[in-house]
Amino acid sequence: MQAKFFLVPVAAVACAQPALAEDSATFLSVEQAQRVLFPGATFRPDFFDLSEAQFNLIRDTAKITQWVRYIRAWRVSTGGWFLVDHVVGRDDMIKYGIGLTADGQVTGIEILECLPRYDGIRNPAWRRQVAGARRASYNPDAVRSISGATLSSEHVADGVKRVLVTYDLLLKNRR
Amino acid sequence: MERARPLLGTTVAIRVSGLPREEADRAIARGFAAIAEVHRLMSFHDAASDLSRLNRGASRAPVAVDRRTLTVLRHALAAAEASRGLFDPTVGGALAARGVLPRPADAPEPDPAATWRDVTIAGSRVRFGRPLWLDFGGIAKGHAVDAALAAMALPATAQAVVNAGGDLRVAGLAPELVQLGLDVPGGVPLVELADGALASSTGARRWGAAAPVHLGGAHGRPVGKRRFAAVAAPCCMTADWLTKPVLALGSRAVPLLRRFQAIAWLYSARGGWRVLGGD
Repeated sequence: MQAKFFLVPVAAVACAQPALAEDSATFLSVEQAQRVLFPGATFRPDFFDLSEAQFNLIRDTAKITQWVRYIRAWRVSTGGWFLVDHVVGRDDMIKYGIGLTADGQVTGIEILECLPRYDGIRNPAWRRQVAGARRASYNPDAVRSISGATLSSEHVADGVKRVLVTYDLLLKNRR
Repeated sequence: MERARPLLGTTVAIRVSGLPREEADRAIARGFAAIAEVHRLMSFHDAASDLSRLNRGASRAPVAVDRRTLTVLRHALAAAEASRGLFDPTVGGALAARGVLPRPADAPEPDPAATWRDVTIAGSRVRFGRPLWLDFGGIAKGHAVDAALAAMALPATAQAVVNAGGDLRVAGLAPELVQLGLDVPGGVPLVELADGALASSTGARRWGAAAPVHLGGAHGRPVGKRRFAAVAAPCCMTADWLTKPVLALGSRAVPLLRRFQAIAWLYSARGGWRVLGGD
């Protein structure tokens, strides 16, 4: 689920391009994030819905809230996976892309959308902390938080763990 | 492609994109059929519905009902327990006493002390510990929206919106902008929603110690001192019933919202808009 709230000035509603009072910014499109994480590769969508059992299994194994009942994954032509995931920030939904190698190691993450005032999570040095993460050794609590975007950074770090668990449970042996 | 039909006491609209025309047509027909089934089984107004049969007979002897009715009843009882009775599907008697619902013919007078705790399920049978009138008004619409999307069985690449008079669910990654039907100062409230559900409710009123009742139909009217709540949740049934505890509890509803992976936006004349949950 992804949900954002806006109050639009009444005068703006009539306009073609309403000026939204507080909007999450889109920093990268899915395609742009794919190109950054896997230069030169092509991507084949492999979207699927989670059964109730799979949904619960991911949540209980990762011990992290599972938000959505589907997986948005792409198979990468050069090997590996690209996924789009959502986590909740303080007052926004954060949408990010994550790359995995064929054997389930994080190649990197790219923030696609969040509120501009919490965009500290776009900082490359912060994001590099999760590069190379594997399920067996990754500890989201060891990822340093960003003051001013504490919840955003903690929840993205948690989301990475959930993605690693999802890879292990569902993607690794997916045909 | 969009189609609308009067169902569930409102207008239900189903919109599908990203599918060939014939496939979209068939999916929409399946969606409406599922909603019509919910309407047939769970209408308070229809004397032949499962709900009416329960209200007439379940205080005398166990009554067998359709498994879909059981599913909604189980969720309603779980919601009542989680919300400590702030959502209670046994408010039918109180609503009829206020003239909000018609008095069902031939049903025994409800016991004013009856609550959700008086409803027990054994197998496919339901028994009331004392006379009461079940009403799924705060949950069946949400369930019907979920049931429609399940019956539509869309591929992941298709986009769909099922909207039952403001209780709606978006299937697909592309966000939909939903205007909350509320005319208040400060601007037009919009929720952008992707792959999730939204329900809203207003007009929280208390009488005695009973639960707040959604008297419905207040969209578009000034809210005055009352509250307006919109809840976003992964499924529409959850969003639907959560609006009641959110209206009643305000910010104290946050733990409940978290538990059900929901976010709420609450408006009151004094406090303006507040976001609850979601962090």
